[in-house]
Amino acid sequence: MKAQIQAKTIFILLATILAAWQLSYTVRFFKLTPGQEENMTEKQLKTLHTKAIKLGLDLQGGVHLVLKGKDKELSNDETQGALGVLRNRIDQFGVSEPQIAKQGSNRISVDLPGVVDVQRAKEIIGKTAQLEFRLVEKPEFTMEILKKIDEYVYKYYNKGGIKDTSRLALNLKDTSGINGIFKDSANDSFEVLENPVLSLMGSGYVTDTDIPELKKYLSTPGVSELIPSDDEFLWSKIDEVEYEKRAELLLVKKEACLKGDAIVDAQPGIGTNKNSAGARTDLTMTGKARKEWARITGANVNRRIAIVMDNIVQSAPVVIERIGGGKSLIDMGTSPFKEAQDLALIIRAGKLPAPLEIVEERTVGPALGKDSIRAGMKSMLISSLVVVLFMIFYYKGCGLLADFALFFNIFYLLAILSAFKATLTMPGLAGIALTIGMGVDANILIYERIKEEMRAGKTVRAAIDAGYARAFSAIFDSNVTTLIAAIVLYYFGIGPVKGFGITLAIGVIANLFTAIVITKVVLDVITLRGAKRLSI
Amino acid sequence: MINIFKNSKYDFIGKRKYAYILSLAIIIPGIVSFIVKGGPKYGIDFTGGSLVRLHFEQPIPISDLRAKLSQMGFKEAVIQEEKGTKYDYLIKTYPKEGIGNQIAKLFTPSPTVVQEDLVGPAISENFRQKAIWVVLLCWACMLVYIWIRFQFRWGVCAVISIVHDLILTAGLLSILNKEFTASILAALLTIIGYSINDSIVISDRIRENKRLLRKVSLADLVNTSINETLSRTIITGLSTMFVLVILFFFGGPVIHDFAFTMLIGIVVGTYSSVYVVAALVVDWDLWSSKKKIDARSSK
Repeated sequence: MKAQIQAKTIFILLATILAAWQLSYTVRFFKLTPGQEENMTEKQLKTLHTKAIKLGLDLQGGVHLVLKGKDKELSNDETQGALGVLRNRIDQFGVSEPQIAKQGSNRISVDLPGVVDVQRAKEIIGKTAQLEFRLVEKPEFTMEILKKIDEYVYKYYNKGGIKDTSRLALNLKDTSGINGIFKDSANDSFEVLENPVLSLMGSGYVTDTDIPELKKYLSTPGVSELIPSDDEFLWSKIDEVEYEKRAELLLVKKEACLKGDAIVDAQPGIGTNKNSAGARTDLTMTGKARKEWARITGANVNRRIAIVMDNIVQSAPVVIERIGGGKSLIDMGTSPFKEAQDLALIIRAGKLPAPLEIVEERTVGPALGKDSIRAGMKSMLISSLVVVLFMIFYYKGCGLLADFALFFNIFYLLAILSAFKATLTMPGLAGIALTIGMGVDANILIYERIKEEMRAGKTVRAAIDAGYARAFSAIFDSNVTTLIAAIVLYYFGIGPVKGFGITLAIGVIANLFTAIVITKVVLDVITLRGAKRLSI
Repeated sequence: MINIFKNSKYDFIGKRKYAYILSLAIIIPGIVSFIVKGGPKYGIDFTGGSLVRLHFEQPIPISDLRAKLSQMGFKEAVIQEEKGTKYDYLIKTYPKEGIGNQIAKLFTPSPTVVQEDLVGPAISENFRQKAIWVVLLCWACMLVYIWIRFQFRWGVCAVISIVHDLILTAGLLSILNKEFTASILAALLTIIGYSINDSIVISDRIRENKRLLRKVSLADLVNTSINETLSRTIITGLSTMFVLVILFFFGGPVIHDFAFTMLIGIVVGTYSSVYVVAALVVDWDLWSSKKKIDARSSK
């Protein structure tokens, strides 16, 4: 008995520490002042942002856009393609929790919570997809240019010629070793260690945390003059390889050798020359483009051609041989089949770029209005207080215990919610309200049962044990039924229904834990110490 | 130790005929109201409406704006501050030509109408249909679980009681001319949860007593169980009501409707766990044992 209580106590402590740690991000995120924000590295900020609980468009506000096909209705395939393109773009834009959804049969709604700059959002989202094939410079040549830039940047920053210190200051905390920039405390200028650029590029790839730093170097005044006028640096999309997110920096021709209209079709497939299970993407060119493609590939064997969408390199395969028949095969190497699917989708979307039109745009504060949210928060606090006091009035010491359980219930719920990266919306809050109600109810069920047992003449110890044991089946069955419903709502539901489902499901789990495990341990400890009376 | 309803022995089941009449007396007008009004009165979330963007020369409290709109009869208007300003507001309300200028006229100096548009529904027709299927699936899953843990009868009656609660609540909303908005949808989902929770608590007690008191008739068994759980029913109901009453009065206009719907739902849900679930199961039992007796006597 004692050992069991100890084990449970340790488990509760661990769960609480874990939850507190998980929630600390949210607390820090919402307490962040603009000043503190500037003193953090981009990496730190991003971690904080992804791990904090996110508020939906209705609670936080942001940009809401609705798009439809310009001039004509989008076909189903075009809508799918456009969805892929938009997702791709918004990912690059770096919005947390964007919601991109088909609305009705041929509209697309885009919700960007937290985004305030509608102009920038529109620019990024509203433009027509641009698919291009562009020649990649030879590696040796690229290296040469990079070396020049590397030397230039080193010299530039070490001469103290920096005017813009705000962005570089971001790098101070997190960089270490030779890659870092160190602050010279004496005169407040910055120094860059040797090979600032090259040291960030392990075999051509740059990890996502280093990308901002490298972008900064590439935009150093004067660097553009080192790049040949018909070339430019482009980034590939960010890949995840062995838990590391990285992107490739490529020097490509500014002019496209072929455009998206050259494509007839792109389809994913399985089986390449080297690997019968490897993913591939098949491209078919139009008759007109076939000749041109044969010429380009013939002249550039062993060179890479970048498939560029919206200035992001989607793939940059090496030309193995001249392609005469207009049918090309991109060997995706060891990438999963989904990569091939995505690439084909993007290429198909880009072949006949369906011009999109923004038919509705709104930058909004929280949909409920600030005054409503404030009133809601206030009334929720008051009502929680009333419930807390009522429980203490009615159940005395045990009521206090139930209040504690309730507090932990919400605490765990929020922690799990942030671990799931769920977005909190108004229906989500309704789900939390129901959970709280059920949590209180579970405690009431148990206490009423204990009272019944005590009236029947049982000792405190026996009454507590019997109370929990008998109330358990009711609590368990009602919570499991609710859990089943919540999972169905989450899994099959969309929009508001989904938000309600997830908070309810998590809440029920937190509920079972707090109402049954935590309060029981506390009461067990009390009775083990030989309490003859129970404050209930 | 505070004990309310100690050893109470109210005859709940004996009065079930009145309860059936009461339920029908509310449900039928509700359904009639639905039919007469041609379905629920969908809010802007569902129907779309006019979107007006106003720019004021000086800051204006959002509550003033809301008050003025209420005077004009647009009580349900959604007002959103443009992020970071106190000068620009977005107002979403029922489709109406020239509504922007009408609102602007109410203020001196009057704001400029920056934009006036018709907008589509935030919750599409497609969503509505899908939501209905998801909720039906939910009920089916609940029914199966209760079937496994209790009895098929209990599952069916529990789902009937959910439907009863929803129709009753929605019917009352329709009679009172309340709008059906996204927050009402959330409230209805919450009511389902509350209702099933209540039904299970009572069913659980009946299940337990059935094992203890084998010779007692089902009606008496149900009565005993309801009486035994009565204090829990009342205390849980009360504490939930406290919360909802506070939300209703102080929660601001948006939560107001949510709290109102929930208040109806909680009362109805508590009532239905006694008078729909338990009462129906008793009647089902009487009906099937009567059929058995009839079958035997006809042999």
